[in-house]
Amino acid sequence: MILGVVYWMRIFVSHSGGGTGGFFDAFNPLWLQVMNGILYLLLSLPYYIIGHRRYGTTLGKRPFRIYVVDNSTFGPITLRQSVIRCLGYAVSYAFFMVGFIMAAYHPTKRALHDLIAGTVSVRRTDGNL
Amino acid sequence: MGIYSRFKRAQDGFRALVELLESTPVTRRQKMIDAGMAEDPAYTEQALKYVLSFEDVIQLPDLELAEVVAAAPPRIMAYAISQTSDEVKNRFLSNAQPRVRAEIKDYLSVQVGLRELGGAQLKIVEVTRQLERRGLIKTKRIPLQLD
Repeated sequence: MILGVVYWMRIFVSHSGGGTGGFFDAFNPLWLQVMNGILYLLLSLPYYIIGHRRYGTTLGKRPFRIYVVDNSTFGPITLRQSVIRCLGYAVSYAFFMVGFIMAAYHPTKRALHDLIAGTVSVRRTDGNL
Repeated sequence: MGIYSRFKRAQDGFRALVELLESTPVTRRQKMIDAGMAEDPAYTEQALKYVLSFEDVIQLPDLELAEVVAAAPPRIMAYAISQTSDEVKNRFLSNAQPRVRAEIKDYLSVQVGLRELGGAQLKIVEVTRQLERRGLIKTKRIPLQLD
């Protein structure tokens, strides 16, 4: 959510200084889209990688008590797994987010990026340790 | 100086050794036990007496089992009991809150590999040990001092 706000503010601020168009004109110049994409990656990659590695969760998952753990030890994931999982999001986003949707239908109920990284998302209950 | 003497020196060393043994996968645990037996058989045997296993968790009385089921994530609990008998599964399910029970039942349909099964059972043992440390589980309580 925070990243989203920063992302859109970046688009707004970068374009509101000059030019003729309004907010949506920001989508037009290719260089700006590329820059925004790069900025988004620079912000989101450390966020997801450090979040999953250090805390096992992100700000969005935390209210739902969803934590990402190793698929075989059910302990914290390694930095390598966290990086692979984060990059795996790109694969899951591709083809109309099939990678995310497959969690509902896969025999092990895991998303594509979880399968790639060897991780699994678990929901903690109220009394969880 | 042996590895086990480090545990013997530390104030909470015995507990640390027991917890290390029970959180280690069975294949690697045997190597640790062998090393301990070579170094100090009496101390190692004492530690082994307190090592919790998943079978011990299954044998817990209903109230204590309910604490374990409430404390463990439903997916991991479902993986851990997936290969047990229907009777054991029903015991776990009957000691779960309705929402948790539904979630465990849902995950019981998942095909679980041997590695996941072993990992899940170790995690349940770890949760049980944490509850023991809090005083909610009485089984295999580790003494502060060894006789």
